[in-house]
Order: sequence, then C-alpha cells, then structure tokens
Amino acid sequence: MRALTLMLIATVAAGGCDRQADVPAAPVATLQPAPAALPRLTRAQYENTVHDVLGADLTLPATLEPDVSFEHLLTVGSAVAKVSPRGVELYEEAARSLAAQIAGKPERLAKLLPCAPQGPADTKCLQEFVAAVGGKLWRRPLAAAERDAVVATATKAGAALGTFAQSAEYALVQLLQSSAFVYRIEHGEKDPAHPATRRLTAPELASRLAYFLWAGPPDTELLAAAANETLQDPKVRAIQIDRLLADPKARRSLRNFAGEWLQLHEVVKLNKDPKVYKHFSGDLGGSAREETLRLVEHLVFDTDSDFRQLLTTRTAFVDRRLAAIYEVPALQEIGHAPIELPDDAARRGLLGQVAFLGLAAHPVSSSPTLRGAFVRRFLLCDFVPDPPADLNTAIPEPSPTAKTLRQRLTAHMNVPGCSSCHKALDPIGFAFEHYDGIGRYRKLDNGEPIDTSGDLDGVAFADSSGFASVLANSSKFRRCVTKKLYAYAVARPTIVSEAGQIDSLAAGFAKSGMRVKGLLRQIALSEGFGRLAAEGK
Amino acid sequence: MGNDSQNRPALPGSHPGLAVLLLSLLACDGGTAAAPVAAPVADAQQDASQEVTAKPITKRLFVLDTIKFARQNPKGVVVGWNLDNKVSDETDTASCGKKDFVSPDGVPGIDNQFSILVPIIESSGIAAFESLLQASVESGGVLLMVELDGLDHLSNDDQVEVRIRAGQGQPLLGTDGKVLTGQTFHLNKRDPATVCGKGPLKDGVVDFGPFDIDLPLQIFGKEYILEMRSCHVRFRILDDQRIDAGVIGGGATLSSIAKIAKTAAEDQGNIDDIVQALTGGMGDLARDATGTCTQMSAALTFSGVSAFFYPSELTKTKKF
Repeated sequence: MRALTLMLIATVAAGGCDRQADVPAAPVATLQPAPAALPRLTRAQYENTVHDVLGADLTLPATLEPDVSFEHLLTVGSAVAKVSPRGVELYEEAARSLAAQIAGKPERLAKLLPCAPQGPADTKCLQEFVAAVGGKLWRRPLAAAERDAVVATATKAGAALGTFAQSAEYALVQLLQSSAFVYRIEHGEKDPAHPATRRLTAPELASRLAYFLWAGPPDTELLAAAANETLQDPKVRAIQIDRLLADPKARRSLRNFAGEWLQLHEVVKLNKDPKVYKHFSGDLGGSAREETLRLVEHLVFDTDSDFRQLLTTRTAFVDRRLAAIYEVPALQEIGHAPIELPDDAARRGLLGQVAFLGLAAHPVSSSPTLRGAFVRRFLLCDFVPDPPADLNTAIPEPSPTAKTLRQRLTAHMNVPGCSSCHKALDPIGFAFEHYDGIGRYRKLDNGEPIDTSGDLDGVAFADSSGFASVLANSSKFRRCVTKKLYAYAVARPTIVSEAGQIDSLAAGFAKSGMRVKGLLRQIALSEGFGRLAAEGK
Repeated sequence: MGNDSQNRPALPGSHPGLAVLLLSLLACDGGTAAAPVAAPVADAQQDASQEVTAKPITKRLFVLDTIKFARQNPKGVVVGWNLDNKVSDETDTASCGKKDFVSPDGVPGIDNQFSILVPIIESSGIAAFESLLQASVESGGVLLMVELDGLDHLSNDDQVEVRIRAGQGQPLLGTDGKVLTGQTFHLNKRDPATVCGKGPLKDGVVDFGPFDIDLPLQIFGKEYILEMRSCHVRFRILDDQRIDAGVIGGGATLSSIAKIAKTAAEDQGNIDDIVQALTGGMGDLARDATGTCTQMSAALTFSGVSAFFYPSELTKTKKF
C-alpha cells in the first residue's frame, strides 16, 4: 500500500523581501489575507505529533525528508519545500515502523483502542479506532468515506493475518502515510465577517493554534472546541489560547521557534579547529544550543520579562564547559544552571553566548562580517545577500599597518564589489572582536588593542554591551521578533500586504513591555492568523 | 563528581606506588626561612587583567596543569630552594652529610635531594613517573591549586595572600589534552587551604614561604597525604589566565612517605620495600635527637591555568 498522495507546494514566497522591516508602525486598515499554503510537518512537529497521539515511548525514524529553511525558518520552509521520491519512501518506512511498534506491544495498542475488539475482524471496533486515532493524527474528524476506506483495507489485512492487532497496524500505516497527516491542509471556508475572503475552518484553526503554541497537534479539548465550532468565537479562542500557553507544551514550541529563529540547528553542528581552540569539544554545540534555549524559556515563561533582556541580561545558563569558556564559576557539575555574569563584563545576553559568537565565526578565527550578517538577518530582519560566487572574499593578510582583523577588514572595504556589504555588516561585528571564534574573551588581536566601537544605523556604541543596548532598543529588532513569530505562527512566508498586520502586532508588543507571551497571544488572536485570501487569489 | 583514575590504564612500565612516592617533591626542615633562589623568572608581563577590568580583582585561583620534577642539569645544578639557609657539604652533620646543589643562576646551598633519585628511578625503568604524575593531574588525582586573595592588580600589589588549595573531580581537558582554563572544580574534602604567606606581588611574581602543608593526593583511586614542611613557592602571573615559571620546594617527611608506601603496598606488593630502599638515608633536613634527618628536600616546577571552585562548596581558610 504505497498510495500516498503527497501534494507539492505551489505557494511561492511573494514579497518576502525583508527590507519591509523598516516600515513604520501603522494600524491594520484592511487586511489582505495571504493565500492558503500547504505546510508539511517539520521534523519537530512530526515527532511531537507522533509522541502526543501515539505514545511518548515510540522510537522515531532516524531519517525523514529533511526540513528546509525559508526566510530563515524551518516552519516557513515547510510551506515551500517539495518532497522528494526518497522522502515519500521515508514517510512510508516511518509509518510502517511506528505502526509495527504499536501493534507489536499489546499495552501500547490498548491505550489507543476506544473499544475491546471481539476478534480479528471486529469492524465496528476498528471503525472506532480509526475514527478516534485518525481524528487526532489528521487533526480533524474523518469523513465516513475516509474512515471506511482505511477500515476496509485494514480489515482485509487483519483477516488474512489473523489478528485484530494487525488490522490496527495496517490502519495506522494508512493514517500515518496520508497527506492529511503529513501536511497541515488548510482549505478554509467562507468568512461570514469578510465575504470577499475566507477563514480557516474550526479544525484548521485548532491545528494552526496547536502547532503555533505547542509545536504539536491539538488535544482533545481543542478538537472538541473545533468540532462544535465554538472555536470560531473570539472569546472561546482566547480562552483556548490562554490554556495552551499555560500548558508545559508551550515551552516546547517556544524552544522550537527559538531554535529555528536563531539557527540553533546549525549551532549543534558547531565545528572549530582544535589546534586553534582548545576549549572546543564535540558536545559544545549542543551545550551552547541549550544555553540559548534556557535563556529564552526563562525570559518568556519563567519570568515573563521584557524580551529586550534577551540581548542585555547578565543571566546566563551555563554548564561546566561553557562556564570555562566564559571564565566564570559553574554552579554544578552536570547540566546547565543560571549564573549572573560579572557586572562589569561586556558579555551580555544572546550576543555574548557561544551560540552566536561561535556560530557566526570561522573555524579558525572570529568574523565581524559573519557576526554582522547574523545580526542583520536574524535580529533586524534585513536582507543580506550571499556574496557572488565569483567574488574573491579573501581579506588582506596582517601587515605592519593592518595587524588587527578590524584593520584588515577596513582595508578590504575599499575593494570594489565588497564595500557595500562589508560596510553594512562589519561595523556591527567589530563590536564583538573581544571574543574569539569560539567566544572566549581576548584582550588583544594579533598583539594589538581591539577597537570595538561603531554605530548601528547611526546610533553609536562603544563595545558589545553598548551594541546590545542599542539593538535591544531598536524598533527594527522589535518588529523583527514580531515578524519571525508571526511567520512561525502562520507557517508560511509573510506577504507584503501583511506589513500592516505585523506593524500593529509590533506596536502591541511594545505596549506590553515586550512580553513575548503577550505577543504569542496577540498573534494567535490576530486577523491575519485565521484568515485566508479568496480562492484563486 | 568522581574521579575515574581507578579506571585509567596504568602507563607502560609504571608503578602506582612509586608514583605516590614521587610526589614527595618538596624537602623540608624545621621551618627556617629559605633564600629564594629558584629558577630565574623573566620580566613579568604588565596588566594581566581579563574581561573583568573595572572591578577590583580580589581573588584568583589557578590549578596546576603541568608538574615536573626538578632535574640536575648539569650535574650539581638544579632548581630548588635553600631551605635550611646554609650551604652544606658532605661534612655537615645538620644535613646528615648531604651536599647541597647550585641553582641555575649560580646560587649555592640548594636543597633538593630528590633530584638524585630522579635519574635512578628513570633508569630503573620501573616507572614512567613524570608521565604518571602528569596523568594524575589530568585525571584529577593531583589537583593542586594556588589562590591569590586581596588582589588589586595582577602585576603589582602591596599586599596579597597566597594559599595552596586542593580540588577534586574529573578535569575537563582541552583539545591538547591538558587541563582546560577557566573550569570549575569541587573542593577537596582535605583541602589544606594553607596560607603560604602575605606580602607584595611585584612585576607579576609571587614569592612566599616558609609554610607547612599536608597535600592530599589521589593515585589510582587511593587517597594519600604527603606532609611537606618549610615549603617555598614562587610563580609568575601571565595576562592570559595562566601562571608559569612556578617552583615549589620543601621537605617531605620520610614518615609520610613511608606511610604512603605502606598504603600503596596493600595493592602493590613490595612497594614499601622499594620505597624504603630508595629513600633510606636520603634525608637531609630536620635532623632529630637521634641524629636522623627526618625530611628529604625536593622541588617541582609547575605551570597553571585559571580555575574556580563551585561557589557552594567554598569554606573558610585555615590560618597559618
């Protein structure tokens, strides 16, 4: 049974130019909703869905169709990426493996069964099973025809193989291979409040809410609110949003978002020249990733803090290895624990972490250019093109007149074809030159004092902590966070006509004192979250 | 939390019990002030400040990452200290007839009897002892630290206090296999917290003594105490979170060496006999009423890197 219809995505990222980040805040006049997209479950969403619905003890497939980043988010990439023929096979293999694990262990199957099977061909019980489990996996009720098609094939298998468990196994294989499981299908329906456009159906809304706030499927309560259509009522929606945000699974989604936004999937693969960086180890990337995630989680859920603290806080979640890099005492031998960095140290927040300083650097050296590009792309949502393939990006070797990397890059800025980007990126990256390519403090560069001063779009700073403050107070940073979260919420590229919606959300974010929990709620309640363009538009 | 030295393979040709003995680096005597004539220290680098620059520095801890036995080169010339403040020859009864050495910069009266044993042990092939010692450092068996307190500046300070401390736990090693800078250790439950002295820090160089200390060591999972008397220490603080040019010397009590050998013999057969054979008659300090020198002089060179203790484990310092 390889009848899997995996639809390819036609949605194109229209108007994805991040230069929109500078658009001044404005109220949402008339929202022009985006067309429906067809996001595929990301790897994280797939795993969470399987664990939440079928059992947390299941062994997940080692390989699935890889996630693709678009506008620097995997969740957005899921709406534009195609599935390869090999990817289809991988989904099938995963479905078979998961189904076999459940059918092969009676206690696992018993937890999923809503009835006690009366023999290998208990069609009624199988129907109940498919309706119950299928409804959770597909995030909507199965139509009778859909249910019966699954049951018919599964019944035949059970009859041939002789056990109800094998019927259930074949049913699960079908459910897990279906496009209704692998994709988050959003057809929408006519919107009574806006007849010219459409809105998500209640189950689609439930699904979007759950994947946004939990990075997983809707639970029974949310599905019930969708089934009785009350979820379309803003008041009910707000209650459900608050419930979802209060659940521990909300931390899971926040971590997932932060991982995508801050490229932490790349941090895990951190690689440095061991001859240059004695503090490097194979597990450093994972440790650095966890540090960043702990900080984000702490600011949003533990303390509901002003999110500017992401850049300015002196709280750091370090394990013993990170503490050694930061030259501060660890609090415990195993795992991460919060410490306060010294008051007078320049190291602060995200931009003082290995996750930034190590990732945005070369294997053998720091890189003001890469650090500047990171800030521009991910924290300011500026468009930063990759260098042309035929461009010689080599910077001058140290010389008597240009010993430091800053001096060498300054000379490089005068090279035609290089200057425009370097002038936009390097002045930001110079702020972090006191940190080497792995994030350790250094007093000198090539024996010379380091100049960390500069300006961010005209606002001067003296060093990395000064830069962090300038960036934290920048309206572009606020809008960028808003835009990234919004794109993560709707799981597709944002479009030009949504600029007003994003501006409005950013203004609300500012008004709330930059509380991300509040922003999550705002986004989930926003017009843009639940509306779709009219069909064919 | 633990130390995996029990699980580490012994080095080829090594003898664990001997390794313990070999840690009797320092010689001692009855507590007279020694003339500081260790290896010369080059000009100290200025301004060893690190990331934290504005706040007055108050305390710094360094873990010794390399420890080596001082060797004669050429014969009769060795790093160490004039622990008894006199120049002895074979006729000096106070030194039990042990002739002193000369320091590399020509200062006579250096007490370092252990330097005689070094080539003997090496040539015997029974212990790759220096490698074993270094392996013990890197496995956490020998986590000795020096702590500077009351620091206002890392190069020049009118008054600082220097302590010897002991850590515990498995060190994080760098890609070069050495103890990593800036890491945090447990406090050894037998941390001596011995004050080496109070005085000025000049051009980044620390130079204090005498002090007595009981050093906790752990070799192949066994714990030992090496009693050191009338010790002196000298080292230089660099501006990259390291110390170098370190020399520590003193008198190891032969009784503590014998006790260590006896404990080691529980697992290592006749090690106590070997130790007795090697150290018998090697005492050159602290002559007692029976005419026996009860301590053997020794010196080690070392370097170190910055370190911390887990804040929750810090205890008050023993006063010297």
